Amino acid sequence: MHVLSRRTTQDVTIRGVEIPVGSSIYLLVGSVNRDAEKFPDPERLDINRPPSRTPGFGYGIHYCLGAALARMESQVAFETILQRLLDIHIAGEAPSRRQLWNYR
Amino acid sequence: MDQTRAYQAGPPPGSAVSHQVVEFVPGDLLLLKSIIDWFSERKYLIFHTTYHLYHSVVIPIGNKEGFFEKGSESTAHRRPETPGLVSTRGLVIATNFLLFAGHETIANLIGTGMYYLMSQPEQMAQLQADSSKFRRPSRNCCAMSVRCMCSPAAPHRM
Repeated sequence: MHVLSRRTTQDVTIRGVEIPVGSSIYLLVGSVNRDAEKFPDPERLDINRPPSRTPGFGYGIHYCLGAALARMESQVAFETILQRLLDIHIAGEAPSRRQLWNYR
Repeated sequence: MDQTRAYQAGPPPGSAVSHQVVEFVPGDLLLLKSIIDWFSERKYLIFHTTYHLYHSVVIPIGNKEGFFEKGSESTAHRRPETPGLVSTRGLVIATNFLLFAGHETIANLIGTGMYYLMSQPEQMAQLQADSSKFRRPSRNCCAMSVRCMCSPAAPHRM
């Protein structure tokens, strides 16, 4: 997930930006995995990147209900595709960006 | 509680689909079967299916049954009939969320992930050559999901 929505329960200041209590905020958590202060080459896919606490499944009581299922499904899917389709490659032009709220 | 109910909802904004009536049996596999058949008969794509499902089925059910609090659909599974427990009906609704919400997100994850892997063939070759690079998640995923639903302090990472 790229975006999570939350409501502030108290006044908070993040990097000089004051957010008053009761504000509806949208967190672009997808950007965390591209944090240049944490990863040396943030825009590049690196399957050897050390595990980090990804916020993609949320945090706390609203943690994603299907996180464990999602990890299992993705592991099965990627492993199966890559082992069965050894010469899979991109065909045609690069895909276009989808103007969706939470997916690209 | 009626075993069979019919819900009527208008089409999503901008949709060419006319007014529809969805009949199903709540809390039963017939619910899923009827939903899947209903969409399959109309040859909807997956994205359209989840979109129509959300607007035509999930929201009407939630509003009618009182699962939603102040318009927040995501609280459906946290409305226990017994404090500290997840209600059966809440569990059914949450399971539907899990199934259909997870369907779209996983489809997006696999598609996007394969695109990035194919964009960098040397990375993809590493995975094809060494399957140990795949991290093995817990096989007990359903129990972990239910525990995550029932726990007042859900784990931030599993």
